[in-house]
Amino acid sequence: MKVKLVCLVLLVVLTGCTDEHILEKSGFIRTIAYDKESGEPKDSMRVTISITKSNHQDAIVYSVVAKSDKDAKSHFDRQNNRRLVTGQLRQVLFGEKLAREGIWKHLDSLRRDPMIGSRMHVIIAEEDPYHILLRNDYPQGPTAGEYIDTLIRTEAKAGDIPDSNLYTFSRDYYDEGIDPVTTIIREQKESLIIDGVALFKDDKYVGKVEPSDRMFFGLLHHNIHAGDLYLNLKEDHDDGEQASLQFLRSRRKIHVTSSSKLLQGKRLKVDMDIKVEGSLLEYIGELDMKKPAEQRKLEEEIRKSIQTKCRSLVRTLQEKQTDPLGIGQYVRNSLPVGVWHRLDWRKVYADADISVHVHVRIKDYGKLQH
Amino acid sequence: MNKVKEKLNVFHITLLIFMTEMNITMFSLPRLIVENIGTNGWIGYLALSVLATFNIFLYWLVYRMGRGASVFQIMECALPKAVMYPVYWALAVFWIFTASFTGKNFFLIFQMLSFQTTNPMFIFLLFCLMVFALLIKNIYNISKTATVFFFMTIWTVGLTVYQFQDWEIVRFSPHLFQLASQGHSFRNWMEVYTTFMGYELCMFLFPHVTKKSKLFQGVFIGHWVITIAQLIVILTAFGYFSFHQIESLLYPIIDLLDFIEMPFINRIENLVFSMFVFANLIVTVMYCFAALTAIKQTCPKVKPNRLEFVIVTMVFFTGYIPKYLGQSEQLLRKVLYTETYIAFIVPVVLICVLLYLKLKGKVPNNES
Repeated sequence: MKVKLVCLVLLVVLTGCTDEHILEKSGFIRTIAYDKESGEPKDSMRVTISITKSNHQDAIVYSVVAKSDKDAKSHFDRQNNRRLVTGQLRQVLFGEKLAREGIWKHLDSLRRDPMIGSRMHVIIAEEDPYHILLRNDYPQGPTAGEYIDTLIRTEAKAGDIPDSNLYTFSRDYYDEGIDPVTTIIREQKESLIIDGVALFKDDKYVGKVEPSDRMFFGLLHHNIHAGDLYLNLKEDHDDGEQASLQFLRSRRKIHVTSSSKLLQGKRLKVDMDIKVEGSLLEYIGELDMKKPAEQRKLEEEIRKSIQTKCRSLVRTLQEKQTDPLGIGQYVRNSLPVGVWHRLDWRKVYADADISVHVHVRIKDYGKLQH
Repeated sequence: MNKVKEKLNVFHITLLIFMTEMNITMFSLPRLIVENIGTNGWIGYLALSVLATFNIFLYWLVYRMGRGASVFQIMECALPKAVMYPVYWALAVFWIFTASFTGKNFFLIFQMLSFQTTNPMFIFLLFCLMVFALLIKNIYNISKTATVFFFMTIWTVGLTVYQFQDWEIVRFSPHLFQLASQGHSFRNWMEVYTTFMGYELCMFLFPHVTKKSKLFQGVFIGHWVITIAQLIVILTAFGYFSFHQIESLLYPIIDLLDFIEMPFINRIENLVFSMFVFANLIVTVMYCFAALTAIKQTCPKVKPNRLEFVIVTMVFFTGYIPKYLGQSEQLLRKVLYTETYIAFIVPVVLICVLLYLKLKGKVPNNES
């Protein structure tokens, strides 16, 4: 009996020994970058990987011009003295030029890999992503990969930028009536900076939301839980009336008010209601915050300012025929399936009458009375 | 010392049925629904659960009409043993195949996540040892084990709260049963129905219960608890993934788990999926138990543990047939389709036999 028991325990315990993954012998790829340089053949690209060293302070960067991911991987395998694994992959960067041609085929192969998590960030790099990864002198983080990861997480948590990862990109790419978005980063002398939101038409990068507009885009795109909004209330005046709403929360609702006879060319009408509330912790202007009437007036000014910005942003999106706000999802749900599929959605969207209505409520004015 | 034969009670029956219905198709269920039923397929899933309830009702009728007699006693009262024995053998072999394909399929999926280069038959061998250890115990002990395994797996339903932040009602559609890529057909709806398979094994519990056991109360509750648990997961998947995204995912439930990130751990799908080995173990054991009961009927005097050993050995060697995941999925689909037919045909035949016996004035021998 004892012999049987020992045999059984050995069998169970030693099973794991057949498939070893020794940490010290693995090279954890932290970041992958795909890029295309001008003059490169059409069917090739530059693939760069960054592997965090076991001291977590440095990174090894490999780069090669290859025809496919697998082609590049075999090249890296031949150089690296540790087995390359993708389980710790945190972000994939796409160079702007390559992103304009479409990024899905690269993401698709990453999605297939069961080792890669769906929280991996998808990012567009305005500068050369190879150089972003090669640099190891960012004061903010030990390696570029670590720095990008924490930067994107912090900003996305506040709601400043949409959390663009493999899951959200695939979800919106597959869905009918919405286009995916990603974050854009740019290299500066001493840091990396979030440089707006990348807009896609299917999987092709078609334009960007400027960083100064990213909060307005956030209000239109998703519900914000804890953002900060800086407003220039009278941009056309020189008196520079400014306000800042902090700990901002927003809720958006989309109503399709008229979607009948779209196939006959009738114009689509959509109303977007955005409720915003936050704490006013900074105000430079003439209004007296002690007086309730003037508080209402300020709310109205803020409302108008946000509304104008949002409307102009929506018009820009319509011009680019990209629908990251998911208006198409609501239109799709308001139409019979057959009508939706016969619709030239991009065209209907570009011509649609989309009204944005903003409602602002200032929760408090900080700890001072005025 | 005389052993007191323990009888099952309603609580254990409920959890045993829950665990037996929790088969491996659960991981692909949202995709199966999207492909075969289409938009708002969860309503179709509920309708199919009602159909399964009707099927359970048929078993209840058999139990009532047969006054608790086992299915073998009912059949042997009407037909000679020589006719019935080959049927028992055929069913036993089929259930061994079902047990084996279900068990092996789990490990082929498991190998996608962990132990990629280990020989799957080696892991399957260890699994078969666990099956053997459980099978040599009686159904009362199997049900007690199922109760422990239930509590080890049920908490995973609570993990759906992690998807709540990204869940949006707009991803549901107001349209009913549209865009089913496989098209609507009896066979396609049945593919979703196969997820409920397991409740039909309640027919082997007849000799192990008394009136106090409230067998069918347990079966009905067990079936509806798993329906609700799976419905929560389906609704989560429908609002979390987009419609065509679900279509593209082989096992959407694993992808649901993939997204969960806790401060101390992420990528918990490897951990959580391994927990389901217990659910899979109960499913495999229960099909082996069905096969064992059928074979025991034909040769009741075999020494203890011999038949169990033969059955588990057959399960292990049958495990060599599915070598690749795709092949395993196809084989599993085939056995589950057949099992669905069996689940409906058996009670109908038994009811007909019982009606015939009633006409003849015979009563099935109810001695256990």
